[in-house]
Amino acid sequence: MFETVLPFLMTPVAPLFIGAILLLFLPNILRVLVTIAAPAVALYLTWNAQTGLPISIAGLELELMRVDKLSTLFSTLFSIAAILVAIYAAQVRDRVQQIATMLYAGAAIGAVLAGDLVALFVYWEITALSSVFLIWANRTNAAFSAGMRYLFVQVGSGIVLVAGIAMHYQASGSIAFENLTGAGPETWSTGIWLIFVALGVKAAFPLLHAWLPDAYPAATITGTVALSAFTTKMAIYALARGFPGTDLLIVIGVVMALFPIIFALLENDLRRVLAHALNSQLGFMVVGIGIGTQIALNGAVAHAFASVLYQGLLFMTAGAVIHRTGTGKANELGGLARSMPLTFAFCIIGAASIASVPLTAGFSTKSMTIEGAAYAGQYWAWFALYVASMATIAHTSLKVPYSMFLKSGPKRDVKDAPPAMLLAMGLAAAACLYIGTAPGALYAMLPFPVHYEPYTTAHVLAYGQIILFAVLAFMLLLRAGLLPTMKRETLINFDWTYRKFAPAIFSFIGALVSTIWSEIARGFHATTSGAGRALAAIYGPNSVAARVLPTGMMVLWLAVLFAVVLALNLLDVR
Amino acid sequence: MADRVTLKNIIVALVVMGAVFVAADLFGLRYDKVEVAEMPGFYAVVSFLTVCGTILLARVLRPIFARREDYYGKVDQTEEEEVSEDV
Repeated sequence: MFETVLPFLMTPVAPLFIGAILLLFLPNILRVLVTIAAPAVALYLTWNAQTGLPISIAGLELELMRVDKLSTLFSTLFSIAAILVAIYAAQVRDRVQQIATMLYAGAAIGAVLAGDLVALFVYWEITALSSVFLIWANRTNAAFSAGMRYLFVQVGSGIVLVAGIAMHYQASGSIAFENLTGAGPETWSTGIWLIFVALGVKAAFPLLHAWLPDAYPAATITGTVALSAFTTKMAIYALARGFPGTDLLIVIGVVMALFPIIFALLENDLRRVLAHALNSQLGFMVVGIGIGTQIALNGAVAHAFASVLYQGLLFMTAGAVIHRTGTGKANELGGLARSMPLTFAFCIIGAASIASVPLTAGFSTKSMTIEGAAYAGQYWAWFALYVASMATIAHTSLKVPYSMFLKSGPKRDVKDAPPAMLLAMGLAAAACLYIGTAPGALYAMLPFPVHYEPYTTAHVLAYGQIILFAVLAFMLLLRAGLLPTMKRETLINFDWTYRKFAPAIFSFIGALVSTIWSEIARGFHATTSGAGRALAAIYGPNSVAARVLPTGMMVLWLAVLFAVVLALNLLDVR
Repeated sequence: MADRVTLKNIIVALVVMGAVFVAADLFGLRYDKVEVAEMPGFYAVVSFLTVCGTILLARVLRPIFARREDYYGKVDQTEEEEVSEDV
């Protein structure tokens, strides 16, 4: 027992899981301290970790710690994200959310450090089970339903994953989580395909993605920020570890980057706009992993790191606006720049980062993936990523701050965000600017040596043109009144298949079966009652058989019978 | 911001700055790994057309995707009023 627990206590997961248990008993002020301190300890342990903490459970050797550049970078990222979420959520007193966030962050860190597929699966499921409470913590019927759908998809991906692991183990005799892609999808066993699909669900591949824009905006204000950081990036890590250089991922990634654009442009709920934007950003990372060259993989991983920060920052600013105004709908917001100036400034930094404006995080990271596509000769992917990048400027960088802060809206007398929220947003914004201005520190953490210089004249000029002309196009369309009108409506996405189509199919099949059954029952009833009536006519109380005949009649019939017998005898008909 | 004069000034400023960035291309200050992108103003044109194109496409496609707000059932008006009471 002790041999099993001791190695676990030395992993960066331990402070978060132990912290989650402590939160059950501590008063609020201490709980806030624990939520901030535990990920800080996890960060320390990440940087002072050693590879190889095998534990034996039920005869199975599990490897809890694989420390290399890739896992260290993601563990660092998740620890930082957990600290920022904890600061942002400092004013929330909901114990459920605090515990769920700690377990969720701990499991995500555990998943990226896991040395084998079984340990990965265990942490994978803990992230699903813990994160759903961040949605349910909203305590509304809509949140409960969205949480159930989210749980169904997430646990479903876990079941597919464990089935894949079992089949892969049967085929190869190994549970090691190494490069699984081999010579490409043509050579994959069913087990590897299942693992790939399970990762695809968590990474929100096209058609497997609907859970993301469905669930994220349904979570609590702080819950959405936590959700945006961990699940999808954990899947990106797993793809980078297991499937680098898989050509199929280039196609998937390009579709992922482009598909959410229209939805993000039309969507009224700003947190859902950001969820679509997040999905699109994941596409860039998936393309980078699919290309699989050193620069592209470095780009994908660096982009994952930066996007957690700027995407988190944008979700934080939207959350702060919801916190103050009670709504996150674009058509109900506007004019908050004066009353929430700091939140506005942080939102602009987040928006600039996702737009890859020079001196911000996106410029030094996202562009690396796009360049990687060009270097690898994947010109159509290169072009598609640029198009997605330009569209992102419209649907997120401009639409989100414009809708919340700049356009005219209902008059509101609100204060800027609470100090804790401002501090978290300030730290995230500072990190975005730091990565943008001094990318060297992040580049040094990347899996491969970096030979990439973002600040060349050509590069700055190219991005200058992209940004200026994207903003110009947006402003001209705004002036012409051609931007999509924001109104309360539902945009159907792929979740339509399981929220409308599947229930309709099931209810049609149900109605069909029930009609057939009732027709059979009716026919049977008609037949049996007909037969019953016929029998009743013969043997019933008023039937011929039951009729009481006079004795004279009986004698008459006997006489007739005798007469017939006599006649036959006389005629000798034998 | 809805102020049309401010908007016009912003547009003028963007046109001027954009022209400077495109002019830099004409002086050969920008090279590219991809041949087609070497064309002066390539990124400016693609960016402008992409934003116009996607926004107009979104308007055209709206009837396909847009449904009433209660399409999936009753809408919870209080869904975002969390935290406020906690503080």
